[in-house]
This record gives sequence, structure tokens and C-alpha cells, in this order.
Amino acid sequence: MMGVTLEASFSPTRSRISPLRHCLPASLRSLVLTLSLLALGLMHGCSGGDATSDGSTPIDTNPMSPGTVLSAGPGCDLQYTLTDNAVLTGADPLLAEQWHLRNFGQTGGVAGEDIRVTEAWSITRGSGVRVAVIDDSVEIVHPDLKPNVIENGSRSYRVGNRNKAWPLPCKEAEDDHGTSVAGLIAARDNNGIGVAGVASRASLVAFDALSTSTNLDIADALNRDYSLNAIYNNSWGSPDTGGPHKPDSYFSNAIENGLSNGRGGLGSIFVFPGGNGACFREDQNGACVDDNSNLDGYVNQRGTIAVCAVDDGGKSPWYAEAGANLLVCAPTSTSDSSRPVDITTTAIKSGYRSDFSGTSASAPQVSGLAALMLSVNPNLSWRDVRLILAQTARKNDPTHPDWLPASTGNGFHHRYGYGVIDAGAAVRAAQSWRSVGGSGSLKTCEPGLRSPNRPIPDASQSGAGIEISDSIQVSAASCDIASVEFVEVTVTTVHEYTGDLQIKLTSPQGRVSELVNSRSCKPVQGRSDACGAYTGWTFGSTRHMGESGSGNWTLSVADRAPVDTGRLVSWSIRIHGR
Amino acid sequence: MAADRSSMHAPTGRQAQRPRAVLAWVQGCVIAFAALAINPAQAQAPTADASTHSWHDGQRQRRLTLQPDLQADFTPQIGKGGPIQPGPSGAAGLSALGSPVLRDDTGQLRALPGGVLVILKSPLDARAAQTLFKQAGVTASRQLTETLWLIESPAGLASLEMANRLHASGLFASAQPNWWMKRTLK
Repeated sequence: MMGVTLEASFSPTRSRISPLRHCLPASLRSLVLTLSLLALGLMHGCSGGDATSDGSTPIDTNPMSPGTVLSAGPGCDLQYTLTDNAVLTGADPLLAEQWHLRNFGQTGGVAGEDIRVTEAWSITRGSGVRVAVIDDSVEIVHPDLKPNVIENGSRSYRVGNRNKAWPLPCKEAEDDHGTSVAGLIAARDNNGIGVAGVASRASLVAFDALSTSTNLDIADALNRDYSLNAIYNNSWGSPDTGGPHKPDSYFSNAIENGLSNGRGGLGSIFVFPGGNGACFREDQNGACVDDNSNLDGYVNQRGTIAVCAVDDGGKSPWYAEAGANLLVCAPTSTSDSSRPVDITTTAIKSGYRSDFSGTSASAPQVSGLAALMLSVNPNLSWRDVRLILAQTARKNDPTHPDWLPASTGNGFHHRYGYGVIDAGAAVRAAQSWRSVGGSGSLKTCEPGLRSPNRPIPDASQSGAGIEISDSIQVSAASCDIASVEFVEVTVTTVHEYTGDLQIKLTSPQGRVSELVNSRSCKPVQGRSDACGAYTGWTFGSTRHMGESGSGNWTLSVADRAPVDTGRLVSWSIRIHGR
Repeated sequence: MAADRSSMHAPTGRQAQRPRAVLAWVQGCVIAFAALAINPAQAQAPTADASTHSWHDGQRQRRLTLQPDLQADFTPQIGKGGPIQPGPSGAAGLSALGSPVLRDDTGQLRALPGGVLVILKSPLDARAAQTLFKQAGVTASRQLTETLWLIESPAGLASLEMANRLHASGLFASAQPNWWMKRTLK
């Protein structure tokens, strides 16, 4: 059912105009929005024409004063006229539709399948914590966001609007993503309009680095104001094609820099979505493209939090990718076409939408929870945040047979990580958490390269293959990690069709990380092996949290489809922990 | 759910459609390249009118193939589809903010909006860094991290050539163009 019966063109981040879009009172809608009425030449601060590498230019700030007209640059459909923006009080009328915050069965799902934020809200709403949204744009003048937006804390990278402090949407049909992400994190609560974010009193800034998608702008945004911005939400990643996508080295440089130096050395919190590329129909042949989150090098990078997805019944939607790198899940859309239930949040043009979906919707809920945690304990390191999320996560879909015993939390599942975030439990744990330290105290063991260079027996027609394995003995004397936090496994294979390969890592405690399963991939022009190659490909695993680093670590490789053959050339392991 | 998903997974179905001749060619190339310890991902068939380039991501050399029928335009009108559009890749057909489009060894398309990212061998104060850049004959725009700097360069292949020249100079830990790449909102 699932993938077979669904349309190939379905995109979890599709945009449908919702009736909710226009539910805002007319008086408030006119507060911020004027569309396509003003000549570009009359606009403030829209000189345009800048080069793409001029980041040394100071940010062009702007007093958000009434009457100011803003746009994201030449050629943009959307323009914004600012007027008075008094923050109102009163209940958020769409709060009851936000089942991800409190699911009482309003969508036909399972009551209680939510992020348990109500208890957390009795303690904090995230005040004092800054969250950066790195996306296509964010409508920072949206009346449900603006009360939480740090004036002049944002930055545009868009060509024609570069270095301006308003990374606004440019075109209605194209720039509808970041505004919805931002609302899930920090839409203002109790202001009489719209929705509430998970951290509804946290501070927001936005960087539209995805509008240019250059390495420079991504790197810049990931580290921008990292003393002030605590959390960087990134509801994006590499294309979900099924093949491995390794970011260039600028990316790991920026992440490591943020982990080591962000927040005065406590480390930036980087949140990414697990990905939407699992098992969808690719072509008339019915081949199932089944991407794995561990093949997205942004998401399996050490130090990033990879967020998986569950629906309103607490189960995995068909598009949500599995991966040993997944840490925790948060709610998003269903994948049942007969009962589409999506996420309600803010939308462009001062509106709202009830159709936000994909793991893009899950990641910002974790970012919001991280803000709640840091608001009650600003001394949490980036490692503390990860550990608390894992330890306090709720075991969703508890009867699913693929739940595995784990040394942290309530078990591990390759589609659910450690489970669905429990905001109440996480905030309570954060209040009394004893820090394990940041990057400076993180231990790393690297037992060296193994080069078995062994052939991998081809599978039979039934798909049964003979598994080969190779082990690394890590002595306690050489590795004094008593509690693993993350494992990196770098693998080189030579194979005619890499998608045939299933690769696993077994820890000294006998616990298995499914690093990747056999799969088909989206065709790539000029390549016979659309699944790419594992040439020094680094897999990540959160699955071994809490285990000992020393002992016998075993890599197993099996060919699960006939015809093509190859060999395991080499592999190595890096164990991180305390 | 797991059972459903696994029943749909049919890698053999797709494999069966691959021409055997291609498989044989790939097999030969894989074996040959493995012997030379070259990335097998580079074993893609070059088209007749393509030219190849390379760059260094850190210490890893990566190959690129020019896409003769595509170009990228980094003027302000970039839409959701990104800057890539049909058009000749030659310099004569490009605007000042234009770039040829290249496909890398993982199949991804890349383009060059301008700028080179260099990583220093070790952190330097601003004055020492500027001395180093002067020695390399380049102008730094700004510092992004303790060791990551942006160097000015025009759009297009000029930035690829500058990156390769800086990498070969040995003055830096690495130098790579400021690539445009497709990223996906999830």
C-alpha cells in the first residue's frame, strides 16, 4: 500500500493554499502587507545588483517603523508595508488545530501522540533563547512572528537584497517554506491570533541562505552570530535521490566551528530533518527509491541533530527516511492519502496554513524544544542537549517489532531514533542536568584503518546474500570511553551497483546499527550506478549511546541483489563519547 | 509498515533493465580504477563534447564534467528552480554573473557564482593572514571562521582555476571554489 498506491509526484513539502490562510482579521492583515502596489524604485533599501561574495558589507539595518516598505529585492512579487503592530492578547484561535502540540484526537489520530509540550509550558516558553532559521526566506514581519523577532538580527543573502536585515519572501509561489518553519518554532502565544510555536517566547532571527544555496552563504549562516544564536534550524538537506551526498568540507568546518565556539564554547545546536526520500514510486517500473538518512551528509554529520517523523498515530509516514543517525522524532503529516492530516502553522502574506508536511515540519519542533531546555538551563552544552533529547524521548509505536534494546532512553528504532520528543520530560531533565561538557571534553577513539579488501559474494536470485564481516578490536587501554555518544564509520567499497549493499555495524555489546540497506536510486545522468559509490563514505550512528567504546566492533557487508559484484576495500571507525 | 515497504523494494527490477554492455564496461573500469586506487565514481562515460575539470575538496581531488548545454545565471532573478537554465556553457554565452555548469563525480550539478574558500593550515591573526594572501597574490574578502576565509574572484571557471592554483601553491590547507549546489527543502 503506502508507496505503491501514492502518486509519484507527491512532495511532502508541497504547498497548498489553505482556507486558514485568510483567517486573520482584516485589520491585522493590512498591518504588514501590501502586494505589488509600489514601484520598486520607490522602495527603501532595495538598490540590488550586488555581487555574491560581498559578505564584508555591514548589514543594512532598518528601523521597522510604520510606513516603511520592504521587499526581498528586484523582481519580487511580495512587498511589505509596515504599520503599527501592537501585540494583542488573547487565546490563539488555531491552537486547537495544532495537534502536534496537543493531540486530543481532533484529527482522527491517536490522542496523546504529540510532543507533550503542555507540561513544559507550565515551566517555560523559551524566553531568552535565540533561534536562527536557515531557510529560503522568513516573513519576519508576520504578526504572529514579529513579536519574537530580534530587530536587525536577521540577514538576507538573496541576490539583490544581500546584507539587508529582512530576508523576506520574494515570490508567493516559491518562498513559502521558512515562514512555516519559523512559526512551528516560535509563533507568539496568547496574542489573540493564529498559532503558537513550541517555544512561543523564544527570539527569532532568519537567514535566507537557501535562496542562493552557495557553500559560502550556508557556511556563513551556520556560524552567524554564534555567540548570540543558540539554535540553528535547518529544514533542508541534500536531494533525496537514494545516493550518497557528501557536503564539501566547508560544511564540516562550519559545524565543528559552531560546536567548539558557539555560545561561548557550549556549542551551537544544529537541527536537521531526517529526509523525505523513503520508498516512493520513481517510475513505471515500480522500483522503490528508498533513501536513507545516513546518505545525507548534512544530516549524519557529527554534532547535528537528525530528526525523524511520525504522524498523528505515532507511526512513521511512508516518506520518512530511516537511519542509524536519527536521534529523535517529532510529528508531521500522515502518509495516508485517504486521510491527509498535516501540520498547522504560519504562512506567508500574514496567513496560516494547515498543509505543512515532511520532516521539515518535524525538525523545528525539536529546535523549539531545545530553546525551552536552554531557557531553563543556559549552561547545557550541545552534547547535553542531544543526551537529554534521547534519554527523555517517548517510545512511540511501542509494539513495532523493530524496536531494539539500547543503553540510553527507552530503546532505539532505525525509523524512530530514540522515539518522539517529550517536551515536559526534557525540560524537567534540563533543569537538574549535570553537564557532560562540550567539545573540549569530548573523547575520541580512532583505532585505525582496516583494509580487508575482500570480495562480497553476490546475492542469489532470491536476494539472499552471504554476509562478510571484519572486526576492529578496541582495547580499553587505548580507548577509555565508558559511554559512547556518536560513532562514525567510514567505508570504501568497489561495487558495480552500490545499492545492492547492506552494511551493518555491531558494537561490543552486540547491538547493531543498520548503516544502510539495499535499495534502488533515482537515475543520474551519465552514471550506470545511480546509487553512487561508498568511497570513503562516512556513516553516522547515534544507536550506541551509553555503550562502552572498547571491545570488538564488527562491520558486516552483504549483497542483497543479484548480478552486480564488488568488494569491501577498507573501513575505519571513530568513537566519540565520555 | 516495514513489511509493506520491504515488499515494494525491488532493486532487482531496476537492475534487470541495465544494458549488459554497460555493465560489462563498468565492470572493466571498476576493476581498472580499483587497481589504480582511483575513485570508482569517476568511472563515468564522458560525452563526446564534454571537457573535464577537477578541484580539491580538502585533500581529495574530485572530477567534474562540463555540461555543454547548461549555464547558470547568478543575476537577481534566481527563482525556486535555481540558477541553472538551458544555454551554451562557453564564456561568450555567459553574462558577467554567469557560470558554466559542471556535474561532479557523484552526479550533482555545480556552478560557480564567484569566490574561493580557503582553509588556513593554522589560525593566523588578521595581519599574518593578509600577508599570506598577498604572497598568494589574492585579495581576501573576509574571515568566516578561525581558519576559513573568502577570497575574491569572478564568477565562472576563473574561480575554479584560482582555487586550483591556490591549492597547488601549498600555502593553504585547502582551497575550493564557492560552489552553488542544489539543496532541498524538506
